[in-house]
Amino acid sequence: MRAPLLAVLIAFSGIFASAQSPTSEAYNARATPLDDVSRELLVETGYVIREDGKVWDKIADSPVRLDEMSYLLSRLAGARRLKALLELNLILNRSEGEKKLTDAEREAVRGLLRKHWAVFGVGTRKDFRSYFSVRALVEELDKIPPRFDRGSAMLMRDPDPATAPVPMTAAAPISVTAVPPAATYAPVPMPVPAAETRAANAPRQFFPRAVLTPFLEPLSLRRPSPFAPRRPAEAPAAVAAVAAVAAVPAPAYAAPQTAPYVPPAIAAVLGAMAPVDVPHPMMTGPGPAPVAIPAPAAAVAAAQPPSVSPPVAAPPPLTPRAAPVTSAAPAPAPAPPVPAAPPLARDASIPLFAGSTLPPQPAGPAGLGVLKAWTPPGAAAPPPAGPPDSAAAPAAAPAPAAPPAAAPKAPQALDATQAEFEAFIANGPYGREGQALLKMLGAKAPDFCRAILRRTVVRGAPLIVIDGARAGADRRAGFAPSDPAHPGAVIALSAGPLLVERKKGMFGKTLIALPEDPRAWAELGLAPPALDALNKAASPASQETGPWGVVRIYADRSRHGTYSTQEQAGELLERLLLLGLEREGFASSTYAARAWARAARLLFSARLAEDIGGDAFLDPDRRLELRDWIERGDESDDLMIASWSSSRGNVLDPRRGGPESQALYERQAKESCTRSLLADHLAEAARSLASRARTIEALAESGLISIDGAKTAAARAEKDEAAARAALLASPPACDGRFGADEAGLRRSSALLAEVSRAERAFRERKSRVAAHD
Amino acid sequence: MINALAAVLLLASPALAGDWLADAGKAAREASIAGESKPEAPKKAWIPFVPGSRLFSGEIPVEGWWPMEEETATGSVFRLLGGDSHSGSVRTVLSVRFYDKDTPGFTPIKLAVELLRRENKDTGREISPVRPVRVGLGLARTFEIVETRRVPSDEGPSFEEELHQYVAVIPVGEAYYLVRLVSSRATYLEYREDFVRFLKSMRTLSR
Repeated sequence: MRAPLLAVLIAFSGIFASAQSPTSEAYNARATPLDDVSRELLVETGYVIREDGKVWDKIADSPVRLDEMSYLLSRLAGARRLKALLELNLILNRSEGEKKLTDAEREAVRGLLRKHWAVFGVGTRKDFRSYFSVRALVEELDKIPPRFDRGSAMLMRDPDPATAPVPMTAAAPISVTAVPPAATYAPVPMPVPAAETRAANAPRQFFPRAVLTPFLEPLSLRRPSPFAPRRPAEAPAAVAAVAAVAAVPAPAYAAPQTAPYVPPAIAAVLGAMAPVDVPHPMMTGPGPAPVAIPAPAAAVAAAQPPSVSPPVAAPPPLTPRAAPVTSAAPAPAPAPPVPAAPPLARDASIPLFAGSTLPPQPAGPAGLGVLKAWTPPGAAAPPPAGPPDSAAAPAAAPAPAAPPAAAPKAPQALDATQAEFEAFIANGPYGREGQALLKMLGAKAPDFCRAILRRTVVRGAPLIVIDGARAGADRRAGFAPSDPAHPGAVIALSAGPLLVERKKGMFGKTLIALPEDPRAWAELGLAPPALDALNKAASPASQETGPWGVVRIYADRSRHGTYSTQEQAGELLERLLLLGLEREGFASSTYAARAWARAARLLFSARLAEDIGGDAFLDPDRRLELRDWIERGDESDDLMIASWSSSRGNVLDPRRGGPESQALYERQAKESCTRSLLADHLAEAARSLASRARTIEALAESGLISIDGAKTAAARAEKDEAAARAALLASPPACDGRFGADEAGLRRSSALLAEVSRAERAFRERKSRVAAHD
Repeated sequence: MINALAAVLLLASPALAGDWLADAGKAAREASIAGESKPEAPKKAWIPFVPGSRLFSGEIPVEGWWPMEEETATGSVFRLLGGDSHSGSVRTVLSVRFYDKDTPGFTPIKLAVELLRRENKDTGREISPVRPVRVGLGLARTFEIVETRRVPSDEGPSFEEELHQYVAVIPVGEAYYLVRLVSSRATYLEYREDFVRFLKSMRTLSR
């Protein structure tokens, strides 16, 4: 009895196994062409590549399945690698030692290495580099990428029609931010922004920056550009991105733009990220019960241009970012009851950054690189009249002209090719240093971010200046105020850190890193400290070379270090990517955008460190960050979150969390919109005070500023916050129910985080493989 | 010394007592808004909690901590974000991770602990001896890490600050939980009780 039962069970298990098999589709070498090495591996091990594209396994007498091909190739490559290493071992063991190889033996080793170079990993290649001349390495061997590590973010290459036509396109995963090749995905016509239905003189509802940024963005120089205020729920992000892209004055040979296209694969991923209607666990405050929301797929579809549609009008020229939140024709009227002193009220003595004293901003790419002030309702300019339900209209900025109707244009590819990128670097507005940095990025940037990097440079044409005094509060690179003569963003790179040495304890010393930009000090309500290193006329007393590069030391122990070119390139990469994400509508979650750009920088630095053979090109802080990230990624991530969610970090709002929970939080917060808005304003006021006061405290403690100056600045910060709080509590900001996140944008942000995870995972797996091999 | 004292006096403002974010939330909750009823204050200080990834079940504090969960290169991470440090540069973070053989780049527990306990002269990274503690999930190996970092790392002014970590590694067969509390050293004792209570409340769920 048992035997028949067993037989039946076995038969059933076989049926289920085949039923559960992922796919029975055969691999088709015509649809997905194999490269030369793959062909060679298959043919030499007895597989037959038939004319219909099927790869026939003669032993199993069946075609190789699509889903098993990558494993098969990996296995065959492993076997070939092992065989090659054994052969090398034989030669070396027979010799009198590796250093005493005869010419014949050396040639045999070279021959073997040449033959199998494609299947060798990075570690093995490094071990055997000494057998070849530099010329042979550069011209021949280094051009062969490690064949079977395509999953690694470090080794993946973008498909470049000019140089790598077919095989790698199929193997490399599509980046979230990548625009697909035109041959595969037909270009999509540009969507037309929804027509403004509001009456011309009707006021706009005020939307706080907190909707899309962690907190109401302060008039800060820290992140002026990437996360300047946006207009949530007004137009799909794709539309906004189109406007941003279209507004960028095209460089000499830049083609007209089309909407950023979301490949179907990515759209599917985005659509699959279904939000869950579960109350936020910590929604003890303003959050009410969860509400039903439209299906995510619909939201994604709404954010995307239609796949097939007739040619439509080109988008209107970009208006400044403030345009959509201002009425078309501001009509001064009695102010509605709104907070008189908003959280961001500033001392009028602070130059440049007070809300109404901003320099004129050119109509740049969505205001990137430009500090935008939030003009509080009823504070600076008379708010326009409006219906009672939209009482909190912001002060009006100059009214933008109505979008002119443009003639339909044929959509063209948005992406920039490598050749275009290189040509732009050579002929664009960059000096020798800028060109060198961009060339380095073009060659070494991680592949998942290359497409957007190229687009940002070629289409956005940001200026690059080496001037720490324009980098804001950022220590290494920041966004400088826009150059009126240049419509694009300006990225300021610091030439080196400004450091001050102070005693610590009985015998210790500590180095304090300070910003050079006077605007950063103005933001704190302080004058820059009187340091020799900040005085361009002062001469250094001595000079030394150490971990901070070549350091000029001044008489008052202040010093100026030097950042290496490689480090500057990494910082530039991060800024360019943030700029690109903002331009293309991927920055709905500040946290996700920053994490994505940071991961790209770290992978870039890791690649350079491998190539150079060390990480000495980084300053001590960045070096520590890279080592931690490689060796203890979990700890590094926790420290990053701890820093980014602090009052000074201001990247991650602890209440909102990552993109997915942010969407959830804001859906719940929408139910009690006014209270949520109030909570955001109060949080920003409190954050601003905490950040300023604690920095002032630390500066005073280190003796960098006078106690009196510190007291005055701290008192002013406290007064600002108290006034803002009182005004907000007396008259909470009203909203018309459109409070909420850009959900489609947040799903894109989730996809960014997923991409970072994939890239990081591939990097770590490759590292562990190399370590195991060594 | 005088500078330090003056700075302490300078910041002895009631506005900076407590965590600014929690205080702002409380103020918003208690504000009178026409047409909106005040939300109820939480009845319990701690509530039962199961993260979406079902990493564990346990209790978390309701006020002053914010949960956050995300998928990383090495699997799901649950985090509780606590109060800001005195310097304003570091927020207290409690994180929970689970590593098993399916985790990409899985490091066996022994090696992982060795890696965590590696000292670093550059940052003054010092590790305390391992102390076993009985918790809900089993016998945790706990230790503390202290090191000095310049924070914020991207912006200035940037000052050296001593950071503190409580680390608990809890083996579950060959797999293990890694629970970590990162905070400023100046404030770490304020969170010790919460950390221990959370650790003891943790239970495993069928995965």
